[in-house]
Amino acid sequence: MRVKEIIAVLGLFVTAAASTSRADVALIPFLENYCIQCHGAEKQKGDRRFDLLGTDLKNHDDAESLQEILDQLNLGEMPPEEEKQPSAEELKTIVAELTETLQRARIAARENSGRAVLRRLNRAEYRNTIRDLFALNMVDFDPTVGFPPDDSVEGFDNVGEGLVTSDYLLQNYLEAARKVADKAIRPGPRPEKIHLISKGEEIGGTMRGFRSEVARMTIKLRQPLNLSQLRKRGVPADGEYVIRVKAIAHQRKSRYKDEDLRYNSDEPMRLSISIDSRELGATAHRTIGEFDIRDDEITTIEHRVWLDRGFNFNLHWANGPNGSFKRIMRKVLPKYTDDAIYPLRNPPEMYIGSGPELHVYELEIEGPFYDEWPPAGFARYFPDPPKKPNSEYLDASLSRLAARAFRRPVSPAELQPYLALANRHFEKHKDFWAAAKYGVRAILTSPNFIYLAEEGSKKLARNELATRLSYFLWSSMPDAELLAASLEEPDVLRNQVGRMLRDPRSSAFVENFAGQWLGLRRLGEMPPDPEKNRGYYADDLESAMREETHRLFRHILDGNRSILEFINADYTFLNAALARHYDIPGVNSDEFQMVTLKADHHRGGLLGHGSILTATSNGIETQPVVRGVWILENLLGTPPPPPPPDIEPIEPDTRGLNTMRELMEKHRDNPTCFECHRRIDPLGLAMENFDHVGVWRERYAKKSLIDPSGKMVDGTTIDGPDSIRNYLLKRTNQFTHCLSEKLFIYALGRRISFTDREDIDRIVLEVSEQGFGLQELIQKIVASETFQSK
Amino acid sequence: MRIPFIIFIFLSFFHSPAFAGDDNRPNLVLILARDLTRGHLECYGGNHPSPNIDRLAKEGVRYETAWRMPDENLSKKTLFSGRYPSHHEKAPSLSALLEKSGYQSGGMNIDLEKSLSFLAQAQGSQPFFMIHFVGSEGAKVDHQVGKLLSAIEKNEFKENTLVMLTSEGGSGKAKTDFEVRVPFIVRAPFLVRQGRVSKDLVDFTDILPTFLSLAKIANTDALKSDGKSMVPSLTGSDDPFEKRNWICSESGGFRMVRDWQHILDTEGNFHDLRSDPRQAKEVSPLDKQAPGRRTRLQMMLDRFL
Repeated sequence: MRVKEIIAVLGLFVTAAASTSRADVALIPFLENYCIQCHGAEKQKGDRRFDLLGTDLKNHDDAESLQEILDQLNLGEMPPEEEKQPSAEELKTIVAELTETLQRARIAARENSGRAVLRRLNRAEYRNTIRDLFALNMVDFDPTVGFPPDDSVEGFDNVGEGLVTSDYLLQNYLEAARKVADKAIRPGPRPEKIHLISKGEEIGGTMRGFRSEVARMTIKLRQPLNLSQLRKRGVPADGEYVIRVKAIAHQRKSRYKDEDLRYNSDEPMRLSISIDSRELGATAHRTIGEFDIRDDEITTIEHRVWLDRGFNFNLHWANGPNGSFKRIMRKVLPKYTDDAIYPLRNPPEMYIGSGPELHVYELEIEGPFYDEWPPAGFARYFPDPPKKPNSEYLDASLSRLAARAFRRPVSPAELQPYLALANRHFEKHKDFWAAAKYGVRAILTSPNFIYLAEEGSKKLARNELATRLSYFLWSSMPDAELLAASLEEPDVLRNQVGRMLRDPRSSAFVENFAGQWLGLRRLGEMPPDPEKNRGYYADDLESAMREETHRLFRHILDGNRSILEFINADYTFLNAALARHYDIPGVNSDEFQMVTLKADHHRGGLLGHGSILTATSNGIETQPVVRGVWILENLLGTPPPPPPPDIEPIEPDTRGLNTMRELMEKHRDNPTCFECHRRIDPLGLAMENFDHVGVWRERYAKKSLIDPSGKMVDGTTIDGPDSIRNYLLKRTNQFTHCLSEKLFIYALGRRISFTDREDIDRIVLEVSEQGFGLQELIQKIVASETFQSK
Repeated sequence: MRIPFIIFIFLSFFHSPAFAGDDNRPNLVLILARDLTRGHLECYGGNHPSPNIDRLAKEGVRYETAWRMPDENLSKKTLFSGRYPSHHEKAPSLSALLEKSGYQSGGMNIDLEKSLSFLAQAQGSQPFFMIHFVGSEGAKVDHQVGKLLSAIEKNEFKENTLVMLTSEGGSGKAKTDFEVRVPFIVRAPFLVRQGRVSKDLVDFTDILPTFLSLAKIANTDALKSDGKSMVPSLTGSDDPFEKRNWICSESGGFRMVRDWQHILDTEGNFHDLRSDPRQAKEVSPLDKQAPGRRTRLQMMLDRFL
């Protein structure tokens, strides 16, 4: 196969030539008066230098710089308050002039551009596209498992600039295509069903020497029980299986004290079922369900689950005694009988049967079951295969696949190389299905599949628009309905967007957009210390916190609710564990539910979400600077420049002699630091009442009282999260602008350029006037010229 | 050895000997074979046919790990007193206790005909106990067991009769596990519905507490049995606290004890019976769990001092 084909030339170059006429009358003196002192030849505060700025805007970077100057003036952030200030009249003139200059530059740039957007699918998009192309169950099948991680640009991993292609990645594409072809091309009869039952002593994983009519589990972490007939090879074919287990909770309360066994006898015993694959190893291990087991009465569990070939299932006692069995034999048993000696290895026979045990009588598996055979994702390309399929059938089938895989009509000439490749294989080896898989692999490694290419005129063609839209809202390929829709008609487009957001595939948008906008993916990168945060792990708070934020996003999205609720929602979504963590009473279920918040919960909006508070901490303590930067970057859209490279970060005070505030006062002593930290630190310090895992606190561990007060650059005094909420609500325009820009970057898969500003500014204004609805914002983005053009 | 507290409470309720009216306590039949080894019986993996004993095993509980005393006399004394030989003096006798509580005695017979005629005339209204002694030859034992079982079944006593078969050993002084580990089968349909094989540890001191428990005679402090009632083991209780966690065989100054895996004697011989059933090898110094097991068995040996 000609792999090298894939190395596409990324001629992504923007020639935003502007045809500005006159040199601006007021700009140069203004810059000299108010800016160059700090951003000139001598000093380049914030890494900005304006003395060399050209004003004819032939240079794209110059235009971006002017846009930034205009933004800073509009926000009133520059010049800083202690410096010489322009008069209101001067400001008005310069803002008007800059706005006009930039507007002209934009029009000129757009006319000349014809920006060829060529970007490859990122990992998530590749996975989802494969899922939808072949209607595969991808829960345990990840062909991208060895792919290198995708780099983020502007905080998003779907920006073309960051999606580089390497030799290594190409090899991975080949391997992935092989796996996918093997999985998706399933000719032949429906796989035969298996029905296996293991009882008592036949159950695998039972303790040696203790085989009987039941298989016993005595502690939480022990070799799990399994169906011994499956242990070596797992299930024979991909499909849906039914797992049945008969189990009993034996002596939940026993002579042993809970604290000795490290166990909670008040909870019903819980059995968990997990699946794994010998071939894929630890990465494939996954819990598929947890079930309460009744005391002294056989509980029969029946669970339907999709299993890939080679997978096996295991049983564990999810809430059994913690620690090792050896510990019980050495340290616990001697407390209860003087026939055992502390701390020796007493015989296990002395304990087995005397304490709480989860007994399993029977394990059973039946399957695979299929709703239809052949599978839909195979039959749509290879319908009713003849007994002796021939070359014509091969061509027809691969043509059908290519049209879907390339997300557009494909000409015969374009198809020719792929068909020829498969046919040569067929002639040589006389094996039709091997040749078919070969052809499928060729199509899946084609740049036409891997790259989202937009060609031709400036305005997106219908199928290009469908593709952009579906990668925006589904992170996957468009479906047949979307490809067939007359998207050039605004009503049709609007309805399609509504349909797509209602479709379960839109969970990819919540996960990938919200996850990256809010930095939720960083959650887990610096996890809390397991020793000091036991509950965090026992209750899986990390997942719960992420779920809370996803649910808030989903709720605002589904109801077209105001995006300002991200700042001040008076509700949130909690399960029992997270509610306990937040100290909010009244939630007793493991299921998430909507909870109305009171003022003294301090929780409204994203600023009270454990996910964000934990992701902006380092696992041991809070990082006010990171939190401050997070607010500036993700809510206000004014990220500070990174610290100069020669600056040492403030050492954390491990002895705990100084409060966080005292430490951060050091920023004031150094003017280089102070420049940015006077914007960052007040925000971060005002969040100090939330600790490193988002628990509300009034004092530090060393008992000193937390002081959340501070003063923003514009003079606003703040004293805690509520005052930040108020500060943000006075800047709804800025917040809306920030979110819109993030959505645009994600939707377009490229950085925002000053030429996009007109659309963004207009949308921000319209959305503000129409109630800030999130769906409406998305609709307006999709309807914009920027979205529909290259 | 302490009396298991639970059994003590349980028995106090049935304060003997006054059993007025219908006395439905079970009949107790002990068949004690001289020098019968596991190798004699098919159900223990031996190569001699033993159809009647196999049937008994199939309907009852067959113990894998049961110890007699080192010779036949010590076995008998232990069985009647419920105590290890070094505790034998002034012990009460099993048969006297049973008779006092209202049991009809079938005697201790060597003559098969005598035993059979007793079983033939026994009445259902009063429980009986009987001990039958039989010689060492496998085929002969099996034949006699067959006869006794038919007599019991013919008289419709099967349901309410415990039949225990084991061997008291011979005249030589045994000093190893494989010598004192004897066949031990208990059929008690009123306790056990289905036949099974048990890995629970039992020895001859457990017979008296078992019979007393079934006869509802309080195992008072004065009896001071060293053993434990086998009733929980027979009914299939899971709880090791109700069962033995070591067994012993003793003669003169010599004692040996074992648990489920290891054996230790007063001469310092220590073996892992799982890997070394003939007691021919030293336990490997690399075996990490053996020292703990040995210390525990030593504690049991020392308790006799």
